[in-house]
Amino acid sequence: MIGTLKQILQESSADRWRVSCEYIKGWEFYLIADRLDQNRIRNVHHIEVTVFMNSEDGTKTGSASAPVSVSDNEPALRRTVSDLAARAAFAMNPYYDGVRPSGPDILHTEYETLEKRSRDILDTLKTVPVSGDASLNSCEVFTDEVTRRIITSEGIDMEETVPATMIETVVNAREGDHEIEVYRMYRSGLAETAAYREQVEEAMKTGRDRLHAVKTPALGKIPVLFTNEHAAVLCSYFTDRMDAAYIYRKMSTWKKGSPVCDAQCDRVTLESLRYLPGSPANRSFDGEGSPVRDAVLIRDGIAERYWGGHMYSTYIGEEDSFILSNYRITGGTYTEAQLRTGKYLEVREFSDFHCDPATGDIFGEIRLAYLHDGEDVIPVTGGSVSGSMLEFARTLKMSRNVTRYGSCEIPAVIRLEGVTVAGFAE
Amino acid sequence: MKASFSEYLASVKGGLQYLLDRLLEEYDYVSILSTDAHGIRITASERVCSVSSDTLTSERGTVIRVFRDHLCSEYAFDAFDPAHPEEMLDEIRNALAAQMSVLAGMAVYETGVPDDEPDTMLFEAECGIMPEDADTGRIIADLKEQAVRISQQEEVIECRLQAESNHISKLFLSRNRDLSQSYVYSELKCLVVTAKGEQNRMAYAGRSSRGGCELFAECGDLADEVAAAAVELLSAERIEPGEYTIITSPEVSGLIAHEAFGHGVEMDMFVKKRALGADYINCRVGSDLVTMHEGALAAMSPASYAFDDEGTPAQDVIEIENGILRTGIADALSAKRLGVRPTGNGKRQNFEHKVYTRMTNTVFDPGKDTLEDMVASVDYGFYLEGMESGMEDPKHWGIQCIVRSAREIRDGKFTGRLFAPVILTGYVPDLLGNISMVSADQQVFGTGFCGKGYKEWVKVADGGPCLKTVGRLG
Repeated sequence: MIGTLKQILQESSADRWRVSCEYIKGWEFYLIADRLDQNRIRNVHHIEVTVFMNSEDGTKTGSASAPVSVSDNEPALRRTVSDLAARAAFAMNPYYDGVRPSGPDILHTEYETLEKRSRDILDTLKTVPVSGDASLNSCEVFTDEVTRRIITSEGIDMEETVPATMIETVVNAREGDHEIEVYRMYRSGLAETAAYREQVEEAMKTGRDRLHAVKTPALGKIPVLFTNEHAAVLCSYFTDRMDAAYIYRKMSTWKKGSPVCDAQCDRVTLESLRYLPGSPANRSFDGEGSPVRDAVLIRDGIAERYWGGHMYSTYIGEEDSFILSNYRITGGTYTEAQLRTGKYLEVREFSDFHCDPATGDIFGEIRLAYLHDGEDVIPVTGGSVSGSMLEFARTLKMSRNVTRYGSCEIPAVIRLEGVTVAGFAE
Repeated sequence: MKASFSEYLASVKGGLQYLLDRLLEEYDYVSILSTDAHGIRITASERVCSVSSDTLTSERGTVIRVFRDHLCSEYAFDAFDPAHPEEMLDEIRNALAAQMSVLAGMAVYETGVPDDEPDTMLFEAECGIMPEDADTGRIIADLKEQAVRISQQEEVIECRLQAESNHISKLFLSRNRDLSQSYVYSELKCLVVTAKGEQNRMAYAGRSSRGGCELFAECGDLADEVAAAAVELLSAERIEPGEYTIITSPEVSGLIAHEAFGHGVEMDMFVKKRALGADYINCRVGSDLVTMHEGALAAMSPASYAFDDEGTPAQDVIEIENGILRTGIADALSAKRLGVRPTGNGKRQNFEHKVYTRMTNTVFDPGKDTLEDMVASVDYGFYLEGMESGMEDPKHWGIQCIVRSAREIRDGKFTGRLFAPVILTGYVPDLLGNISMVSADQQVFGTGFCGKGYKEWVKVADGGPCLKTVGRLG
């Protein structure tokens, strides 16, 4: 089918074209406590065709894209390509050329069969400690094998197979009639059963603490520590503001060679990582065929290089760019002990935590936090945090040590000063 | 004109029937859902535009559900030759057998086979301009003209308009059911970003319908509305956290209905004992003024359909009646486990995904008050408007709703002060129990998608009238 599609595209009026394919084989298991609720298999293809048409004077490029089905026959494919060429002619933007071939330099990621990964995870679930006060409520396990391929009219034809694992876990903690739940989502490439088990045990501890949590008091403005995957949400403020699309659309004004942080705070270094051990996002090439590279995007608080899709990168003059997959943030100058001083709130659990990179606003409802008042540590629940990264970035403090969450490696502790904590008045 | 049923699905139906018949010889229950959905999405700002047929509801594929020995298994695929269905039959058998080898010895949460009352249906909804017939050039030109016009405003750094129309066809087969449906929904969305110094502000709004591309003619009005809101946000202040009297706009009322309450009565959560609502059936959860409907027939919106992804006909369920929780909503498997009737709320993100109990239209009933009277009754409080996001908490009935802004009310009048952004938190029964006034109007908003946790995105709509209650803002 791909061969037929390629031939149709070559024969068409398209000035350029791209075919992106993903073939996914996946096994899924759904458990209620320790019993199997449902098992599933998926065997699916995601194929997208993009056609590019240049204006007659060569100053503009239009594009249109569409999914095609693996079951489409030749007449259907010809209709799709013809429609795309017609639509592309209407969707004109300033001219940009195609991604040039480079490589092949395919990452050789580790491989395990779906069967082995599934078996390892299910065996690990059997070892999760169950006690009267904490247990597994339910679990959803997704193990995928994803074969990606990009073919373009410029001569790119690259393929790789990558693993992806996702495990959604809910644990309960209870005391008498009072029961609460804690939710976790674990993402990795292969099944990292030891790390996953640690996460489940941590979730149970969190649950036990939440049982004894009191209402979050109205704290006004107070330092807040972020010490788990919510910290990665904060980091989107730095990654997204270096996105070529944000720059072109003027939603970010960060200029190369200029500071992104106040000189008084820890100076962020943001790096793209082609390969991050354990990440579910290790990619040799992005969705447009550009090679993913190791690159410093922000160095010691100074913007150095943008990342992004080919069109926007071309418009802002960023060469050899790519769509970010893995990243690392460093630059912390503090030990964890130094960050855990004075009165502060450490939030371990939010209902949902947001950071809007465009406005800088952060907000989230607290499900569990620990209020450190200098002497005691009090588990608290309820209320919310809010504020603006525009202000917080000026006094940012980070730990020297880093830890991985999904596809990013970030400081294990991030401290923001003056976060508004809305709680319950006494 | 009618949204014609998919020619592709009609062409594969025979092959799928073969699969169904053969599998019924081996399994206690078999059903097949086959989907074909395509659309068009056109986006334009002052600087760039794009056209794509890949929308969040685009899909083409099939999922087979089988039951054996009280265990439900599924196989989802998209490569299928209806002329040689026996090849797919072998593939399904072999794949499920290989997976079952990993599950040997595992205890099963035993479930009876779903009910399979006889039903046949061919539903083709009325529609205006079909997405297949969209005048791409004209739509792009119109969107771009409005985006350029709005972008001329000094404070505006971007106006982005998006027009999307989707044609959905689904086929459901089981031993006793043969159901087909085809309908179109369309959405028009606008995002405006404004800036003052380093501070950006954003406003967003959308319109939706069960019609076609004729909706896009409203792009100018929508852009004006959103631009005005985004410019006004530049002068917004930060709210002092606290508990306040609030009046919610219909959009925020819908957000509360969906996030704060609706998720809490999805009965697949009852099965897992993850929902407090299970303990409150026939108990008071709100004031007498609160009545809430949920169902694909509770409104006509992009979230409406004739049957759900398990072949259960669409319904209109009264979840809360005069403050009393009457029932939750259930997919077929959860209904079987709980001994209740399914409510037509079994939905998949697409054929690749599992069924969960999901909302469709979640709507508060209107009351008798006017907004003017409601505002006049407030000594000090806020009028909340603009939906940003929300997160469910069915286990504990906590609330997290992010709204775009809050307008200050003092001594029964708007003061002109605006606060943004605003997070509404609290406890659901308190919020609903404090509802003391309900306006006589009602609006339904259908541009949203809903996740279960952080995945499984499905089309939903919600809405209601204005509500006066008490909430914690931060």
